[in-house]
Amino acid sequence: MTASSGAGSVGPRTGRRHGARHSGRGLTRWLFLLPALVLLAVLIVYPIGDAIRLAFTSWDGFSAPHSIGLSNFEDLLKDKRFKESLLHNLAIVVAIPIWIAVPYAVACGIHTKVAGWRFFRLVFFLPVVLSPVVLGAYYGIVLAESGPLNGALRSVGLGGLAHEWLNDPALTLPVVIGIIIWATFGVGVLIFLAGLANLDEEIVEAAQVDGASRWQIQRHVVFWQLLPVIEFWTVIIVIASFTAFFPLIYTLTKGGPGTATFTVDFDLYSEAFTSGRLGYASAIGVVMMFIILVTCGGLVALLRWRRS
Amino acid sequence: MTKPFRTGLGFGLAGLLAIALVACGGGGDSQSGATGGSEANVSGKIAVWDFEYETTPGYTKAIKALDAEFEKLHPGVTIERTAQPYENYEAIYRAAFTAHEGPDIMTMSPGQSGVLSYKNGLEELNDRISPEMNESISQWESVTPGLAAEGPRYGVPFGIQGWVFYYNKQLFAKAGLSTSFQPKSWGELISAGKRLKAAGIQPFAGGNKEGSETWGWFSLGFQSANTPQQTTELAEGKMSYTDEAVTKAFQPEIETQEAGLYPSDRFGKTAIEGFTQFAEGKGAMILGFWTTGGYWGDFNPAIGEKNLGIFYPPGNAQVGTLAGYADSIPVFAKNKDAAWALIEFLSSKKASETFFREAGILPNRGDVTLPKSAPVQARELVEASRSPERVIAPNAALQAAVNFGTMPAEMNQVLQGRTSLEGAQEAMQETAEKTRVE
Amino acid sequence: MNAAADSPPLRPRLTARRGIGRPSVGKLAIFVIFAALAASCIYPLLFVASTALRTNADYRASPGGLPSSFTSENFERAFSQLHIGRLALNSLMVVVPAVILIAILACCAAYALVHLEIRLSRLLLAAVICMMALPPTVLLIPIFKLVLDVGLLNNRLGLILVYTALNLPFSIYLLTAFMRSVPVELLRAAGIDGAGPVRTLWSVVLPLIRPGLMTLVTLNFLFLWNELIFSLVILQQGMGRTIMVGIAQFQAQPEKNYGVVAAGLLLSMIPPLLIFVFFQRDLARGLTAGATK
Repeated sequence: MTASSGAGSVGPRTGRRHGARHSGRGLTRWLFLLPALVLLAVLIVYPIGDAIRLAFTSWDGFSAPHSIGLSNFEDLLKDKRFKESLLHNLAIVVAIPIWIAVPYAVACGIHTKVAGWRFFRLVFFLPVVLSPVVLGAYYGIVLAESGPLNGALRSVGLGGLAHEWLNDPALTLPVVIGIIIWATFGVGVLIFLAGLANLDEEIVEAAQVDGASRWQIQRHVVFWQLLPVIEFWTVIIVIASFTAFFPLIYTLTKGGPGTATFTVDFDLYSEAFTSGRLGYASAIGVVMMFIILVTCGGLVALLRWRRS
Repeated sequence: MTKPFRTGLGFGLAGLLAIALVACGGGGDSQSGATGGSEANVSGKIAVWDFEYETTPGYTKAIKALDAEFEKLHPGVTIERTAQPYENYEAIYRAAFTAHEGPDIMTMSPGQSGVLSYKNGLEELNDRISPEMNESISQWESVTPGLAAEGPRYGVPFGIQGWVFYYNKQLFAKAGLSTSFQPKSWGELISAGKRLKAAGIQPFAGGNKEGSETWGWFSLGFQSANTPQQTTELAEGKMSYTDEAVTKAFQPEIETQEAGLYPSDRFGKTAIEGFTQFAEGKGAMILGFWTTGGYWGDFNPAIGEKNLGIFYPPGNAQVGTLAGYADSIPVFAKNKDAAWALIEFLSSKKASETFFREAGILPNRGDVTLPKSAPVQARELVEASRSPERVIAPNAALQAAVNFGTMPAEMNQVLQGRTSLEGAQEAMQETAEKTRVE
Repeated sequence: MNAAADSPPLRPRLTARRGIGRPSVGKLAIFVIFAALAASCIYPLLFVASTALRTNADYRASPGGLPSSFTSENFERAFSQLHIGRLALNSLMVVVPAVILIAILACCAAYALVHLEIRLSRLLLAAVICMMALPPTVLLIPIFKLVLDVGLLNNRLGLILVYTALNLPFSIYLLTAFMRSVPVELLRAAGIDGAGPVRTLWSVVLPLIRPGLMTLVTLNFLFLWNELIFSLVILQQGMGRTIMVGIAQFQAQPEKNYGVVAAGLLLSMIPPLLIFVFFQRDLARGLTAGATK
């Protein structure tokens, strides 16, 4: 289909071809990049190096760290809590297709200018602005055993579906994942809306003239044009699902019931600051970085797979 | 880069102020006389990190007044007290220790999970502690390795904290129970609970979502079944968490839970929600604190001073306490002498009286008598804390990772009958071995 | 069959009114689903607002229910005890410069990585992604020590630089996604017109990636506004504390401060929402402008 190949051409490769035009002014090019690179080198890369170095040491934060080789990583392999937490994080990763689809669909819906779209756009952003403290308190009340949700289920005769949502080992993790998706879909909507606003309308219109159906256009034109944005969102949620959800989980369930919603970032925080095992915590961080990168790489490859 | 400059300036200022002080004939003396020679150094800025400050209104009021008074006594001193969020204070404390840069005084939680887990970065204060101070203050075990009575002190304890049972006398009377209740065995407590239940009264109010009630039950259970030496062994790592002594410590809570004495949604509610239930008369008993929150000061206004009873755990030791918190001086503190003078001042008799008056903090000084207007429960608890039978609350022996992580998480499942106590104890032991501070 | 013409998803109409006369079943379904989702998003806000407007005793009596009476005391205390005004000002003084700095640096870097022929640009982009993958918790202490060593502890500039660096990888990555959809023909045309890379970026690329840039600013503002742990550790002194640290520090005794914390949180939501409204309104204009082009 012509439309799809047209969309595909707006890729990084063409950008490069164009770039050749400026290749004569080598220094200017680097000047664009340099400020960001310097800042990143000093404030991110150097600390990352420090953290990686610490991962091979035993350090309590008081005396000097001493090198212990791979010992932290060996311990990590035997660490039941870490492995359990990691499994919970992987369960969150499994939910990622929903996490992409929901904001994508909502953004497309808003983009159609459905009645009240400005209102919806604002309202869908509200959960993002709510602090984890509020979410914890709010869902603690809504999902309580005798709370409004179970009350509603019972009043419509679905009492059988009423559960202890936040105290059932089998249910709590899915419930928490649901809340997390709900609490963050506004960010995704925002990003996808920006992507849709950037659509090359000419290609879409060309497809319409060609008589393509709405679904065909969605699948063959919009999706491919939005692919860089989708890829971006995928990478961001993979990273966030490993590194940024502890506050939410902490206020919602305190990691419970039992250890059912413990996550690696919680494990990391408590190893580093509660127990003061800074070397071990760094090792956890390094392993997480590895897992995150592998997961991201896998998902991006999957997204791009159909393209070729 | 600017550090030498700043340090120089600091010394310069300190010198000037010292001269000024001497010239003025020493200014204020009073409480801090015991430190003798260090008086001349009490000047400059004292930076304090405090996680109680600006959170508890009573404490904030008391400490502001006391800081102002100290500054008046020592005209060269300014106190810079910074409130730290309780939930995240570990992060900022750890960062300070790794960089050897931070305040002159840090407030610390008591025991193994607090001050003792930072001991490698804290000043040993024994040389500064006068015999008089050592004598008149209690709860020193909370700041001493192994929770020992003697040994290096890594802070000065403030206040008295612990767990104790409160009961609603009116509801007890309704169920035909004695209104001066003190069970002689856990069995007696459970049968009283069953009687309340039979009378249509909720025996225990409570919420254990975050597992904080389990700390209290464990502590009371351990002191009830074991000896203070065993508490020390647990603290020193000589006793395993798989030991029978620990198994016994968890029994009372498990039995109470199994007997159905708690509300069915106990694990969906927080401890604070439990305290509220009790205050509203929706439960006849609660496992509460000695002071600061979930204590007589919260319950009396709700259910009446005459109506609020206290009972202690049955068994070996009825009274187990630890410090409310401790003030410590990190090794990198820049103004140690002045910091010590402030700590000494805040632990004085007069300051203890202010803390009680404004914030209901129970005094850990033998020479403080509570005013006549003080609630009967406060007076009873203070008296109990001075009895020779009193032991260190065994909860102080738990390492941070066990206390805040493994124990509440594992016991939550054990209490709901989902996992075995044996497995939970093994998990605790594993955490304890991993995270022991040498 | 004009299914395509009937589907505005991809075709922002110049004549937006056109939809009104012909409500389709699909649109109705979308509307109903959106309404339900919107209700779930608004309700928590009402919960915070009602908690902020009632006494603690009233809240405890029925946390999820309606207030029995209203009080403005919590808002007064949010200003007098929590000092929410000063906290907000402190936050703005850090967040606004950081957000601007990020926007500038990220634009330049993303432009260079995508449209200027930089050797190793792929590798650099991969490195940028790697920088996001290490959990910030692990970086806290190394970054803290660095800030201390360069003498920027307790200095707003220190936190501004740290915030900029922490959010820069995310921002560069986001903008590269948008840079890629810039039609190459336009850049080529600009090149033929003799525009250098600076002018091309300013007058050709930036207008085209405005939606992405607006989104970036909104998100960075929100993330940094809500950031807690780096702010806590780098701005240690009471007077300089940022809003989330101030609120966290106040909620240690929740049973005594529910209402005040709720009032503080409600007020703290206003700036990010204002930013959102401001930039998204602008975005809608950009949208229609793009469609008329």
